[in-house]
Amino acid sequence: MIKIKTLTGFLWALLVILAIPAVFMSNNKLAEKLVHASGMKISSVFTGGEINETIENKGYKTIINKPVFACLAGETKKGFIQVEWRAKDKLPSAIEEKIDINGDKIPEFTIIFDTASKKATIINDTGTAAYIIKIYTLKTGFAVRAGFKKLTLNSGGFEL
Amino acid sequence: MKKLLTSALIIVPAFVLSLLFISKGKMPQGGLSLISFSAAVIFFNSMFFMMIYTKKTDRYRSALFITTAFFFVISFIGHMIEERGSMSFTDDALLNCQIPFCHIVTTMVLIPFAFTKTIIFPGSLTQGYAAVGAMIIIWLLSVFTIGRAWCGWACFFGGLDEGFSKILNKPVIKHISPSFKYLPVAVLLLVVISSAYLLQPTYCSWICPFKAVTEYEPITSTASIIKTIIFLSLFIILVIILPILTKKRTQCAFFCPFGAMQSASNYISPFEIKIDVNKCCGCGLCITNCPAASISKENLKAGAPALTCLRCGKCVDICPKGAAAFHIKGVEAGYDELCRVLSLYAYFIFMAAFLGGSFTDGLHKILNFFATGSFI
Ligand code: SF4
Ligand code: SF4
Repeated sequence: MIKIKTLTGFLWALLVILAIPAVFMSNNKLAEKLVHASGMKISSVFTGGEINETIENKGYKTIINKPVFACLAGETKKGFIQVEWRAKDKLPSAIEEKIDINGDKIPEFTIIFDTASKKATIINDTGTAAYIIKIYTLKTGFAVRAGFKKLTLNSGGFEL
Repeated sequence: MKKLLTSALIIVPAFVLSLLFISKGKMPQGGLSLISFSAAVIFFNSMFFMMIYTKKTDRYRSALFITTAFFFVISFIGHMIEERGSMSFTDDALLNCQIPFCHIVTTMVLIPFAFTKTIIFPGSLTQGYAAVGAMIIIWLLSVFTIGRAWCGWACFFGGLDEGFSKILNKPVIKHISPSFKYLPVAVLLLVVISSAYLLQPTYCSWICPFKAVTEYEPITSTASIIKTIIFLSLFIILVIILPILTKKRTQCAFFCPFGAMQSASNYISPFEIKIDVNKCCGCGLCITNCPAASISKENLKAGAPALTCLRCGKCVDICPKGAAAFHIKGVEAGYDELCRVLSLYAYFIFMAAFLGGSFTDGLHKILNFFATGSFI
């Protein structure tokens, strides 16, 4: 007589063998469900953060993202903000973008970007020690990430 | 004749399933597509048939595994060149999160995901080539089904160091310190902690040897030069030179963090390798021949290889006393062949479903090259 343990072993193996094609066949649907149910997102460290403001300029548009302070738990003091310039027909040779990080209508710094040399410089308007982290060359324009340090945090936001 | 017919009958369901997976549900149109598809189906199934018919596993598994890794590389590089015109990724691909997600990254994303609900990798969640969600589902499936047989049957990289390990007949370096087996655990800890702290997949950014045959950061800065030197050196040492000299899969056995993590899933999988201590004559053939260095004298006494076993079947094939065998947990003695067939079924279907497409695509690209002078 075949023992219960042996039978269970075979049943388990059979279930596994059936599960493999079943899961592969519905992989895309399961993946969507997993992403949806778990609330999974790509970290803003890679996406550059959510879009805060899109400004339509003559010949190009500016996309300024929300500042990112990503870390494992809570927020870091060191953050970055991503700004993109996308050409509708042609980017100007120099772009000057005033950046107001905390939404108090006072720009903390200005990014000056030279599209020919692909060089960016920062002028710190309010004593903020902002700096360029990386310049991205895109098919239709450029993106710049500027880093800065958050000095104080209050319930309404933060000061720089 | 009876054996031939029985073996042919046994593989019928696997044949149907592999046909379904390799064709992705629709018959390919056109000459080269049809040729590469047919070649893939025939090659996969003839190797599986030979495993069943000859009762030998490793040599046919290995032929499949190595060829698949080769075609995967051709398919992947071809895909990248088609998409972006080069093997290095572009800033657009990075910012638009279009970098293919491989299973090794899973080791680094789990903890940050648990804390932040975000994936620390610039990949697509559900759309496009090698999306994060699809790969995580496949990895979860492997954990509950085949365990670390992933590394013996399903990893698209593993066939590379396995291929180089087959070049010499005898190893030049015969003794490998047993303490090396802890190295992958150290690498795993290092990349898990550093990735969680920096919110960056540090293994991918700095030390993945397979960047040499997939995609890499454009070489534009000192950091990217250093990274390139590191991944090329690791590839040459761990995937080419050491496997040739030791006849072991050195990258997989002594470095890969995914392998270290996946070993734990051998606890969950119903399939295992068992060594019958009463039959074992202590010749040590399995110890010297195991490509993952998963068997020691202690393992022989304990009647099972270490958790790191890849279920390749080499020890089963080589054992002169028939002491090593594929086994299903809980099953009593006397069902060795049934256990082997069921284990191989699970491994083979997983392999065909996961790698069949890359095999066909890689082959198609090579045929295209000979037909038109272009891979794409
Ligand atoms: S150890 Fe790593 S590279 Fe080797 S087969 Fe396993 S996952 Fe692939
Ligand atoms: S113990 Fe046997 S099945 Fe496991 S990896 Fe070593 S040779 Fe392969």
